[in-house]
Amino acid sequence: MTYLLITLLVVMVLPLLTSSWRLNLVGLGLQGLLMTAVVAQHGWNFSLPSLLLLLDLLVLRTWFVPRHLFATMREQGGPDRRDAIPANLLSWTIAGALVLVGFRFAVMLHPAGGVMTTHVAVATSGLLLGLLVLATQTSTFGQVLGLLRVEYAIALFELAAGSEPGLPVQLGVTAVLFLSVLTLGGFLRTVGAEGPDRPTRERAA
Amino acid sequence: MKELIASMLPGGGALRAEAHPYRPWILNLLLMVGAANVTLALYLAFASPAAETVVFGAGYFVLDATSRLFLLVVNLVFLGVATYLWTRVRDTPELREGIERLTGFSLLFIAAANLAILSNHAVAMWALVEGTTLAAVPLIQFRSTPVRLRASWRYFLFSSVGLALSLLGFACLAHGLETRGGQEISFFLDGLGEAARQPPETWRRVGLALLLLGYGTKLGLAPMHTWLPETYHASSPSVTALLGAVQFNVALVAVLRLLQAYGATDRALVGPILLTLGLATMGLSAFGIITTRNYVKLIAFASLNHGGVIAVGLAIGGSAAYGVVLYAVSNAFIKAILFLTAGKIEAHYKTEDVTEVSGLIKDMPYSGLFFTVGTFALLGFPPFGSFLGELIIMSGLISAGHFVVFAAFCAILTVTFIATGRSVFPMIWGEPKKKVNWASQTIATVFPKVAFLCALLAMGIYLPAPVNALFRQVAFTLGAP
Repeated sequence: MTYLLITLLVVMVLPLLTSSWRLNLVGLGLQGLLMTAVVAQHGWNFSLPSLLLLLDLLVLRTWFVPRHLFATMREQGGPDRRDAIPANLLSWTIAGALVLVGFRFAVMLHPAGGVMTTHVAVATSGLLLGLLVLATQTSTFGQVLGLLRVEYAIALFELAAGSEPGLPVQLGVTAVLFLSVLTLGGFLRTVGAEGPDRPTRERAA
Repeated sequence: MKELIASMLPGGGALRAEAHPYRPWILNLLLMVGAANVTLALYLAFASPAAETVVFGAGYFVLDATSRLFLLVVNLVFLGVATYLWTRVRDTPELREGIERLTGFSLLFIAAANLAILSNHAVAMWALVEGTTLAAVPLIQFRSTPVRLRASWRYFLFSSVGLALSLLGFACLAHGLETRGGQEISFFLDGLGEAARQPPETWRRVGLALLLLGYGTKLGLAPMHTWLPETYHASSPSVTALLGAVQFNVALVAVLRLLQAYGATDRALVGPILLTLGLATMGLSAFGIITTRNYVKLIAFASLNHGGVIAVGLAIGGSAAYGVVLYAVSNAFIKAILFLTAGKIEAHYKTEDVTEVSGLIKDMPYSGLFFTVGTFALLGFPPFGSFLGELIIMSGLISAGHFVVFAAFCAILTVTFIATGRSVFPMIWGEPKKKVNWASQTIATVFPKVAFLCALLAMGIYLPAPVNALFRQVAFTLGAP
């Protein structure tokens, strides 16, 4: 379990250090896949809410979210290089510090240590990194990425609880994510990947 | 299953409206759904005693005083908005373009809002509040001008982050209970009540703080308030009225549900948070009202102020609770009147600049009158419900010994009053800048606003016993004696 969580942390951090929007989307897909593995290690209950959770993690988060945004971004054109956080030493240091804060926070709340502490630490780090992306980005794509990172981190945090929500609740949460991703894709098309204040290549032409 | 029919009716209407191109009956459908909803909401509100609680839909929905009162309020506002749209499109044929889309998403929006208010499960309610957000995005984008696109993006981004924080809050509550006793939390409202009786710990504190911050975003509370003035200003008047009077109250119901569960046990935590958020929002709203020269933005900033006053009242609880309920319901009708009237004024003057509008009461007698009365109600003048609500909240501040907060509250309200009057009074009573022959308005155009005004007056002067019983019951669940 700890190896999975550490891999998840690496998948959260590495794309921040690259300037490729493709890698950032692949990172989101990998987060979904690793979260499925985390749930699998908890052990599956063969119930409808569990199947829906599997659908949510494996189909929606691992495949649909990156695939849909990838198609939308390719449709938009534009540069390959898109930083998730500004590419400088200060931003990377802040990202590193936020991971440390995540771990300190987890130790504070779970002084006993163990898998639960690592789980909370990774989820908190993911949340803080998502907020960092949101805070430093003005482009639509960057903010979409930040929002989804926050959403994935919260989903990871919820997996720590281990309790199974009722079917209508799980259905509602999955439907909200699905519709939100469609809406985000819609914004990338209408507002443009650069943002509402900057014209896209097409609109400028 | 009358309750389920009440909530599902708009959803069925939405499917029909989206399935066909423009037909003259499309707005009739909106109107009929609005009227049917109000009829059902009236029946549900007064057919049984105020204290009676009915749980249905496998426990996922509840009909209690809170859901009855707010179902009635949001559906009355929705009917008013539907009537406004119906008359505007009838009188101005060019507005028909894209109206099917607006109608369809409005019906989806009210369906999600009704279900959220009826919800007996906190996380299901969260998903339904997010549902209203998703339905509101295309409404804000209506006719896709760059300003509206930008506003809708900002709205969606802030709402999504706020609601994500709320979801994290729920996860923290669940985690706290599990780590303490290995017990699973039930997010059904009675389950939340049981969880609240456990001694508070860090996870629970973090969870409640995140929930208040997250839902506070939907209420326009600082520091996550910046989307509100821009969105209210950019959207069409009917959409602004839906956001300000319907969605605001749906988010408020979510906060009320939290306080009904945790208000008594965690007052020491939620009180200071709500007080800080409320006063900060009121201060920022006063600053916005001073600096803006746009009357739609001015009403939007005043809406921020209303959110702040409600947060302060909720922070105090106890004797202030009745004032909060009165103020929140008044607030819904005031916003509906003002935003719909502002739409008429903007359509007439083709400007939103306060300095360009003068002599409104002579130029547009009906709209001028509604704007005047709406402004007085907005500023908390007697004999409106907002006045009484504000008075009870201030009295609650004194009884609770919050003298410094009381002083700050009064100071901010005074600044808001002066700043609003300085901008709005010349608009109303100044010399008209142009001579116009304004066409008389039909009863259908003025009826919703007259009905809202009557409701505002009734809340300030005399509330019929069954309505008052609902108000008192909601206040009682919030800790009122």
